[in-house]
Amino acid sequence: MTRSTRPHNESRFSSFRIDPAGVLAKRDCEAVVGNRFCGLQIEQFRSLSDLRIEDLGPVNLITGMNNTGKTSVLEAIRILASNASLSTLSQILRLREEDVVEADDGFRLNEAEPAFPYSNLFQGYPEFSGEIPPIRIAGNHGDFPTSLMIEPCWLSELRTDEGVRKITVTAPRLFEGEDGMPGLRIKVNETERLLPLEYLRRGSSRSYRRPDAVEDRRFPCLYVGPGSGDRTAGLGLLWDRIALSDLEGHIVKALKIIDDNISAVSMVGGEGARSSRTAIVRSTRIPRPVPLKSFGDGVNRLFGIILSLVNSKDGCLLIDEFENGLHHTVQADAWRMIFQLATALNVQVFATTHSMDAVEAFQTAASETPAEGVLVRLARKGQTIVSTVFREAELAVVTRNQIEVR
Amino acid sequence: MMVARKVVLVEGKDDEHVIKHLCGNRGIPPVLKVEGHQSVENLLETIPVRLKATYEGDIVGIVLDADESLIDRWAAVRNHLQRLAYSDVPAHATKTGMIIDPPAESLLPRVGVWLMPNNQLNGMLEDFLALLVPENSHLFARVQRTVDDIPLSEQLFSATARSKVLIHTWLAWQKDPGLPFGTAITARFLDPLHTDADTFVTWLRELFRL
Repeated sequence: MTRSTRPHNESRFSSFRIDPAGVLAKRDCEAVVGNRFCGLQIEQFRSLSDLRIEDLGPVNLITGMNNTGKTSVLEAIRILASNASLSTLSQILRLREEDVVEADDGFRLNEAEPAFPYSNLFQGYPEFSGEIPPIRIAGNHGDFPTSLMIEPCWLSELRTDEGVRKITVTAPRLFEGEDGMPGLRIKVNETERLLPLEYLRRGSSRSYRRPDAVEDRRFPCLYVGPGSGDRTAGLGLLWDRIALSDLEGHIVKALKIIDDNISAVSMVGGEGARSSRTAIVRSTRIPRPVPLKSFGDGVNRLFGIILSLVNSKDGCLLIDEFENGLHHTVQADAWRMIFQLATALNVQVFATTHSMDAVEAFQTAASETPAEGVLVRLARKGQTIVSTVFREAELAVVTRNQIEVR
Repeated sequence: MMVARKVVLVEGKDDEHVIKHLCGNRGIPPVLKVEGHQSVENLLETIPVRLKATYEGDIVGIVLDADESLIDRWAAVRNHLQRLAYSDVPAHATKTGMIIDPPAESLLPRVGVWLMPNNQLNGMLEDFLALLVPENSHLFARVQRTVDDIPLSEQLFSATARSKVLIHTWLAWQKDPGLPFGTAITARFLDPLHTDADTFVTWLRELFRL
């Protein structure tokens, strides 16, 4: 079966509960608050066929057994926050090493079945010419309600009378030699982009837009991966943005949670022969600065988390597998710090975990701080994955009674 | 994939042991997990969260005392269930114990509710146990007379505790005096085969599909 000529039926879009303008039905959220998401809807994205999450809080912990799509939810938020930017899409594929599959294969533009490097983002790893339901992601965000759609489609390039090149959606290419190009159609709210895969492949930053160009409405959204600080090099840029500011103090305070002797932190390198950056710390017990790495996984993990948090002011922070590298005895302190900073800097936090220790530590910190902590459990129901939201008061009952919510 | 769980939520240890021994004596396989909650207040508070925290295929039974008002206790449980979007929760306690399936699109479990002693009377677990005393027992008649003959000036227990006093006295006067409820069932001082136990056992079997 080949793809239909027409872009995917628009009528489904209107049955989408978050309408294109991003306004959720009232019952979906208790209140739409300022600069954060209060609800999410994710369709046909990776393993999530139709996931709705309502009543998100300022700080959210996502739990669920293996393969229930915890990381996919973080990815969906990244895509939303970036208005489905190509760099975010390719970063997501790179993180899961899903970009390597096509590497030796070359771009098979001349074969009947085009290579489809973005296949992994769609449900069921479809082939390009199959019937692929579009990915739809919507976020009920106080300031930036966003509803987006990504679908594969055939494109062709035209030249207007003025000689301007224009990309349009075309009929599926049935035979080699026809001029259709495989591409992606990305619609964010009312703005549509048509992107030939060929250009994506070349890493071209050119994006083909309809005349009403995408307005840049992005807010910071940083992602802390599951690796427990094996590398500090990538954090140089984040460090430079906050070095010598008041925010620097938060970093030291965070590191003290694990080692009270740490008195200062900085990042060195980056110029001359030494191009990579290294985080170093001063400890009251060691006469000269030493690499942060020598303090172990926990310190490095917290450095990455808190540095990313202070860089996410007025935006959101995503932490994958929060507990990695953090002994259960320090997790509550780490969460306290996250809750406090999230409030102070107006950052909405989403973290994933499969550890019951992390849930307990999260609840403890949530109960001590004004910001509400919300737990979102993902679980299977038949072939789909559904969410259950536990508000802070319910979470207290969960830990008091040792109820399993992983 | 996780194996679906069959859980009975109860108020305390006594309920837990009674259910386990009843099941054991009535041939119900030992697949039920009975969870005590220290008090009725704690159990009531836990119900919504406990039902939300289930996985696909789980079944949850809830056993509560009706206490002084069957109507009020039922209303409290019903309120919790309705808020969780269970539909068709009956307005009154079901004589044979309530069983309802969850709304199709939700992950909520199939749920059952039993109000002690029998979904029809005010009272508690001990009233249910009194029903299991062998019929026409002269000894039990004597227990009742003795307890009722205590002059008010010497009676330390409140009127609502009368059924507790009766059952504990009954068990105190057995061949093996003072057995706890569960073992007293297995010892047949309380009869697990009594017809009044049938309704409860049938409810458990139907609810958990055993």
